[in-house]
Amino acid sequence: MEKLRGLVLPHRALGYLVMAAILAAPWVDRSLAAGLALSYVWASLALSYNILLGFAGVASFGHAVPFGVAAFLTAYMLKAGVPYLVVIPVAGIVAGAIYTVMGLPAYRVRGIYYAILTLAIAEALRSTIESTARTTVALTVGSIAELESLAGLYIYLALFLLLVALALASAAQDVKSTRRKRARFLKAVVYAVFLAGLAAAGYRMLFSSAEFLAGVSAGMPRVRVMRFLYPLNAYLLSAVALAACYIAIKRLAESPLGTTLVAIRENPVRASVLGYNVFAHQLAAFFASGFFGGIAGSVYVASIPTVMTDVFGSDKTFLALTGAIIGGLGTLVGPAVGGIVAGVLRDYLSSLTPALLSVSGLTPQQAQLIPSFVLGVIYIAVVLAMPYGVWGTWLLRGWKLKRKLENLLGFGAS
Amino acid sequence: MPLLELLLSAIVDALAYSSMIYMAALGLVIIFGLMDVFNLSHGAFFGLGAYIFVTVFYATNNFLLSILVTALIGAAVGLATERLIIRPVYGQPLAQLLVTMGLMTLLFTLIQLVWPTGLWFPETESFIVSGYVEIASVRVRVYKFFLMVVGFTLFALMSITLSKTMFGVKLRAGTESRELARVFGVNIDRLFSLGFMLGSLLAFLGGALVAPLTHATVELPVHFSLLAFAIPVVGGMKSYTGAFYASLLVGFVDRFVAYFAPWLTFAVDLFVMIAVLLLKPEGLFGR
Amino acid sequence: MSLGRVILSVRDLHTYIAGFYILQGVSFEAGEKSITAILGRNGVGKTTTLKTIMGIYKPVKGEVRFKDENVTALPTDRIVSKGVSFVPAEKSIFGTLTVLENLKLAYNGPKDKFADRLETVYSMFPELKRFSSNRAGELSGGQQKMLAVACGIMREHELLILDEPSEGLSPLYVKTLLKELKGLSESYGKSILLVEQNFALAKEVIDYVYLMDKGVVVAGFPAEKIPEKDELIRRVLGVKL
Repeated sequence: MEKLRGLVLPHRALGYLVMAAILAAPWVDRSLAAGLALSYVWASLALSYNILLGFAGVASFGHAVPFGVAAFLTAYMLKAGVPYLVVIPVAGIVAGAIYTVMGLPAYRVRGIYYAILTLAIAEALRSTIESTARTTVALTVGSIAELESLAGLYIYLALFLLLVALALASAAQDVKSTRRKRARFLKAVVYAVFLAGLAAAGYRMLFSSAEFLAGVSAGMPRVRVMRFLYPLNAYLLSAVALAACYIAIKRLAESPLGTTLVAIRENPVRASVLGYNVFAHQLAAFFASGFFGGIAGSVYVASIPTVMTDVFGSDKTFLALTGAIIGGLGTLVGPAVGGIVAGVLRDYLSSLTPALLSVSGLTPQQAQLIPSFVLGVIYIAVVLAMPYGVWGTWLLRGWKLKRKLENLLGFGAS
Repeated sequence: MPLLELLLSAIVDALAYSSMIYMAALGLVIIFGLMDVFNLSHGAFFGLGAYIFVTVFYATNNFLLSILVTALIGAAVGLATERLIIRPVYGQPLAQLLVTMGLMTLLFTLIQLVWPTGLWFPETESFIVSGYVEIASVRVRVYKFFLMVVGFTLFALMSITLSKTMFGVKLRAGTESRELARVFGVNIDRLFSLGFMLGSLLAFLGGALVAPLTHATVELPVHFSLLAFAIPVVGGMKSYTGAFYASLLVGFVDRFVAYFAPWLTFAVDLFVMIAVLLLKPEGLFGR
Repeated sequence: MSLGRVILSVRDLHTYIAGFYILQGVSFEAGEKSITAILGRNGVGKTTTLKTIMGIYKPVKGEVRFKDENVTALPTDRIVSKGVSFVPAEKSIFGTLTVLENLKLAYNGPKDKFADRLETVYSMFPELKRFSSNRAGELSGGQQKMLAVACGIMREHELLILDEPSEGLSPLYVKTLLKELKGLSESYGKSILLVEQNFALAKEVIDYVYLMDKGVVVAGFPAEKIPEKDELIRRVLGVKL
């Protein structure tokens, strides 16, 4: 009972609401599912990148390596028939191990040198694979068994209902424990609105699920079943993976390892004098970063079932980096939000390209690159706009924003 | 081809390549020496130079004119980059790293966008550009010797400029200590701009010169980026002479591997970099 | 104040370095055609004051006026071109350049006068002439200091600022050097501002002295008054002048 109580904490309310909203999204607009699912992958990648850059203070431009390795390994294992839920952690561990090996020189080789080295490693890997293979390397998985199962739908609905219940309970607790009358009223209103929206979405969810299930037992053609089910399951996987990564990394940040890493980042000499094994801690950071990056890479295959050598491309590192930068290094929510923003932006820009095609004389292949280009410009603008440097501004702004929000919702003085 | 002929061909290739690597990397060393900025987009400048050169050549069919135009564009791009992108993040190493990486990715994307299939440099009537010469029964392209001459001339010019001109003295002074150079009355801001412009011009020019030999391929910008990055690491981040000898070393290693085990090229290049980083981190000629 | 015209005036300078509050309101004036000294213990902010004047550090508050022109926080090379020559205490010459190159770089006057100026400098520092094509980094510490002062003189200036000129030089040599600098300033009408810890040596040549402690100038008086200010000097500097 105590453990259950622990779940229903006032400050968790917002988190539950957000997670429920994430789950509700595809039911409101089905077309969002595919794009958002991929964005969550980038968000997870950005979070994993943040472990290295934000916490350990190591700039690595080879983040595509654990990601790509995990993606290829996942595709390979899935084709061999290994259950997906087994593959994901395995891919994560392998990716973590590989990143740890890549992290070995980081102790000796500092800053810019290490960044160049990792860039070279990622590119060398990609080009060696490409030139060794006779043809374009592409591993196609086809339809993934787990994503076809009906069980996924049940899990989805159950999870949603659970989250809404938790959100309701936590929100109630939160409102109850707020002392100031005006804040209490404001909170109650906001929560009510949120919950009402979720309820509406939930109703829609249950209704169309019921419709769907009725159709299935009446003998719906398999194609239609898959069209309904598959993207939902893929979306669920991405979202759950992101949530799991977020929670795990948050625990990590608050753990002894996390705080030690920050101390090392701030002042490595002092940390080693105090007896901390800087090298070991750094390697641990590499492993963690690679592990979560590997999870992202493994989940990536669900959205993009054909894995090619472009997973080692520097644009993957770049996307993770952009997400982390836009969102803010060193905070946790930042990279997650940033990763989603980067992914969504890229998708939005991609969706504009058919219009661009008709206006200019570009081939589809060329038009595909325009989103990356625009994203690159935005990235540069964001980096340049940091008055206190990339670090300082987000460390400042991240906290200021949080405090503003807290004050607004009356969390502050209670 | 019997071994001796193969060897001869490889040596000529390596020397020509080394010259171009030197052109690509010299700007990097100048910029880093002066400003402590590692311009990750430098390789992209090289690639852009190749593409712009071939494009202009298509339009004008004039080798020298195309070279000139590319060089001018290179200087302009350098000036714009230094003013708009580098200067705002001066003194913030992390931001510099991130922004130059962003520019690099941006330029790579731009190249893929505008020229998705690469550009083929056509045969010309010029003997120097497209002609062949027979040396010990090996057919060698004359252009490779031209590139060698360019590379060595550049090295000579650089050495003379550094040691005999006031600009060279300022460059060396600014590389040693920016603050003291200011105290000696050197306008460091202007020196930065000039240095960056010179570096950028050299990169664009290098790309332009290598295009007739390798064509402006899709791989060219990335390949030369990594080769260029290896030079400051191997030769010493701020060493002008080190850059020359490192270019020779890397050029030879790269081309010889490319001749005998082409799929290992990147891997071996990387290996050399790692070896130097671990054994002598300040570079073979670094202080 | 028996200063005559004022060539450099510093008013209420406050400077922070890496979050530390170093200059907490520094004010003083240096008179034309005279030798002014700022004396103080280690760490009171003497070098920071000079570097703030030269535009190397930017003050958060206060003003620096040279020849009655506001030069606060201008780029260093602009200030130098206005006629201020600075000889830093530590990194003061380019080790990778030759002695001659250092002197050439320092010189910023008309090309045809270079040879004359060089001769003047060589006559003051004959050892430098001997090593003129050696890299400055190969010289001994004392010779490097000489080169630094030589560079200061090579530069066109009306105000020569020296940060701890005696450090690293033998006391006898310093006495000679200071006397020569004084002679130079008198014959060419230049002004000198120097910062020192070695009070005994400075005492011989200065016209006006300021005492600095904990980031502020605590006193300023002409050289004649040194004997009567004995106690103050002892308190601020910890030593008798």
